[in-house]
Amino acid sequence: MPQSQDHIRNFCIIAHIDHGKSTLADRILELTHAVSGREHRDQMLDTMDLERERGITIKMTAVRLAYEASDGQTYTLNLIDTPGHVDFSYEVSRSLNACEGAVLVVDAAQGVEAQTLANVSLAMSANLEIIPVINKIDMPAAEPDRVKDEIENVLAIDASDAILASAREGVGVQDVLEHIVHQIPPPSGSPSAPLRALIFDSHFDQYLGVVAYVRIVDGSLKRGDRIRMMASGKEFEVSAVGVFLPEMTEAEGLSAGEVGYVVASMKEVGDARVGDTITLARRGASEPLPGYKLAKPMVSCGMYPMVSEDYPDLREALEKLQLNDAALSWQPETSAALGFGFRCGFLGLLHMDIVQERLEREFGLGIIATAPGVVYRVYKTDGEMIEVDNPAKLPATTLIEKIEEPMVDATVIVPDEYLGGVLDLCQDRRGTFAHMEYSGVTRVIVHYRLPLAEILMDFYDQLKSRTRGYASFDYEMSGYLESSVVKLDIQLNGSPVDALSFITHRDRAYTRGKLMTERLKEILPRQMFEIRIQAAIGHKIIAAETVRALRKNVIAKCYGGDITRKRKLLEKQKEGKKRMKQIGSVEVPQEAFLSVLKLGE
Amino acid sequence: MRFEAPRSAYVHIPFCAAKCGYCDFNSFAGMLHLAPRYTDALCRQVSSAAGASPGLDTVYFGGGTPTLLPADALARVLGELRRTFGLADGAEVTLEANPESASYEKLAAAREAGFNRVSIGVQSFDGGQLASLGRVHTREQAVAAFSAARRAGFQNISLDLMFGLPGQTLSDLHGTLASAIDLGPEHLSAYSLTIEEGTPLFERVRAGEVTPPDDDLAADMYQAVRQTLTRAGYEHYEISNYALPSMRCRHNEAYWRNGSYLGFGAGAAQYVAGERLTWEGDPVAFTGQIESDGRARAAFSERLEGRALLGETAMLALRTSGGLDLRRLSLDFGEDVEAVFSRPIRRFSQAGLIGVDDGRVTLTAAGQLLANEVLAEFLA
Repeated sequence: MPQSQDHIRNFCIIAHIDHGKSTLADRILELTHAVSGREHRDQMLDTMDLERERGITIKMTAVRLAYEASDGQTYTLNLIDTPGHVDFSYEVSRSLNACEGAVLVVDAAQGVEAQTLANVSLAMSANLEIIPVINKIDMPAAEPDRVKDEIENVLAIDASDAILASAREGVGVQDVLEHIVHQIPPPSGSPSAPLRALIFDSHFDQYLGVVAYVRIVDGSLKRGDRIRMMASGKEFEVSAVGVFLPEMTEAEGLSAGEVGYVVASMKEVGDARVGDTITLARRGASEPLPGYKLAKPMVSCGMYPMVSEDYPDLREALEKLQLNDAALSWQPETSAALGFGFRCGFLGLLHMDIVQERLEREFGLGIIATAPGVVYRVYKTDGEMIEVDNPAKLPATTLIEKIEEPMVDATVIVPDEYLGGVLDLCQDRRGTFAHMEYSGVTRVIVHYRLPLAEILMDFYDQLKSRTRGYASFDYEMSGYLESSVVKLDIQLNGSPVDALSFITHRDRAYTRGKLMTERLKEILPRQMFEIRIQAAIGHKIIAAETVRALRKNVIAKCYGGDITRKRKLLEKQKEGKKRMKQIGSVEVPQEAFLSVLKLGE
Repeated sequence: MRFEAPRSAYVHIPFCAAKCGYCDFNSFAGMLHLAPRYTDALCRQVSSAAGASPGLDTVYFGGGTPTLLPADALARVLGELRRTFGLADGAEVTLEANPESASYEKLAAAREAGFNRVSIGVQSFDGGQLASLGRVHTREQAVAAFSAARRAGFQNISLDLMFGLPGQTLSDLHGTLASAIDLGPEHLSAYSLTIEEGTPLFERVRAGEVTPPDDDLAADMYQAVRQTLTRAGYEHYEISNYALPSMRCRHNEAYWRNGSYLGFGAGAAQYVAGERLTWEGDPVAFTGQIESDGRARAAFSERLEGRALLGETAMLALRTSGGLDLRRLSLDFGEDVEAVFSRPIRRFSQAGLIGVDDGRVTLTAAGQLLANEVLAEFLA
């Protein structure tokens, strides 16, 4: 049943990680009786186990709530959840575009953090009404007044009316709902205009196919309508529309201002791309909603099955993951060292971690992932530009005119006593200082432009250790910049190990090569002959180590004729060797790849 | 493959005065009160195996510490073996002894009962190292045990030594070797210490309290043992074993030939008619089983055939100076063994780890040190 548009409020909650976004969402769901006590699980909106464990939101959900406000009227509130992490900033921006307002949660002790800043700037550019909530006021370290100042000074949001809340204790939650009703404007679209619906998320259901999450901006949509995706041009017939209560509940139709789902026999997530606009196939809208772009992988790595027989399973698992994750891309590749595998592209490091973990956890696959790299733009002397996501694909140096690497604009918020460490780190990571300002009295907001590749290399760990965990960090992509990068090869007794080669900045090559060879020397078991480990750029060896030949491996004794035991020991040893990868004559345990690839700098 | 009837018997005595820190063998301290019942059980197990052997050429009492049993108990079990199977003329009958429990009286009684070879677990002649191994005897006791054995009439005495001990240097090892040679034993076993998981020593190494020699030093030690003992006239006839001419341990040679043998006692292994088994290892449970129905239970058994059996036979033969006799084995197994092993033979002779001479494959000096690398590739 179409809602009266002026009684609809579409909102999201934005916050830095751990500031209490999920807890507040839970309380709101409870207060509006969307979830009964029995089916209530903490952090209801995060449906994947992984999200629950990591305390982060990966996939968004949209829940429709009924709220009887103090003015005696009942409003329909659509709570649209947003992922909190930078890797998913495009998805964040799409879900923000489905709303008219945002509840901004700031931790009363931590204050404004880097992700707060990033999310608020996205919300502002989506013209959202922002309702500041200072959460966790029950904590001993809470300083609501300081945080109010920060919100006003750093975010330029009037905080005089900020709600003081403790979502954990249920304090202030009612106020939040009242503010939503009174402060956030109702949706403004026209129900009689041609249909325009924004796809802000989707998931794959094995029976229904792709379920697209939509915000109807103009017009209306019902079962049986023939729809067209304005970016992809694909057409489908709608088999069901509905809303999330929070479980999927079919409705007669959806109309301007409403949030719900569309099912239309779409076979792959690519059929309903986030950001695309749905219109009707006949008498459709002429202009799509603004802002659609294809999510592009920024980070890539090779993924190989630990046991080669698992290759088909890995392919199937990737196919299944892709159904729910349009941002994941992959194609088959072959490594001399690791056999058959896939080159996978990700939005960022967290996205990569999540995919790896899901492969292992949900599909029970053992994975060897090669070192993550960024996607370089290589301009060849023949004028062609290619994108290189794999060191093996880098053309010969003579064919390269120039190489560009992806850059990010990074924001670090840090107590001023640790400022020096942050500046040193950014400088050391080839960063270019942009500007810096004070947030409150003792905290500084530092802006740097950094190569994305430098962030892949344990930047976050370094930042944490140099600031004792007090810094918060966020970044956004910021184009490409010409850079002097080289391919570094690792060789064992002269045979290159393709899985261990990587592209790196020329200034980093020596230290990384040295580190890599040293580490391999520690990891490689001694074998019956000497092993030379070399790091090379082209033909030039820049670092070398030697693993001396194994001299002794012998069982001394067989006690009292216990021959079985001795044989089993040797069988175990032989079995262990089978699991090693043979590179030239050298046997490399898979753990070696794992630990070398996890190598930080 | 036809299996010869067993002419060797191993008897396990699982009692120890104290458990050594490195030992993961089936032995128990503080259980000696069980000895009388255990002795009875052994005798019953032996007599019930009547017919299993046409007569014994070698008998080996190992442990544990067999000399912890009273001499008459040892005599009873040996007597039972003689009565049940018969002992061949010139049979080799070995008693393992630890210095602290090898008194002249006990050794003389054992000699009297028919034991004619004694193997003394000296391990080291260095007091400090003995203590760190958790051995309960001293250097003086080791020397005393040796001379007691001589006086008791043993003309075939073996000493067990260990090297690669935590804190041990090459010169420490040379000291122990010199002391051993001075005594003039007919046979010496020199074992490189293996740090077994689950032992107190393993935990101490893991905790960083003690540091075993690295592999290079252990390899140097192995070579020092070989050089010193062969110079002193001992033949290096198996990876860890040295003997004066014609004084090899015939019992162990039966193992390395992959021959059949009977096993008696808790945790003892036996190999009869192609079946390997290990008896129940817990002495209390073992004794209980015999007492209840006269039969011990096997905790483990397996039957190897074909390629698996061939691999195991090769694994054992390659440990000895006689090596792997390809022609002999081809006859026994009815197939061209040289072809079966062609890959490892080619690979390891190129690497200088084995030599092939007149149909015999033997480990080179370098190969002995890397025996596991080589032997594993001969297994199925």
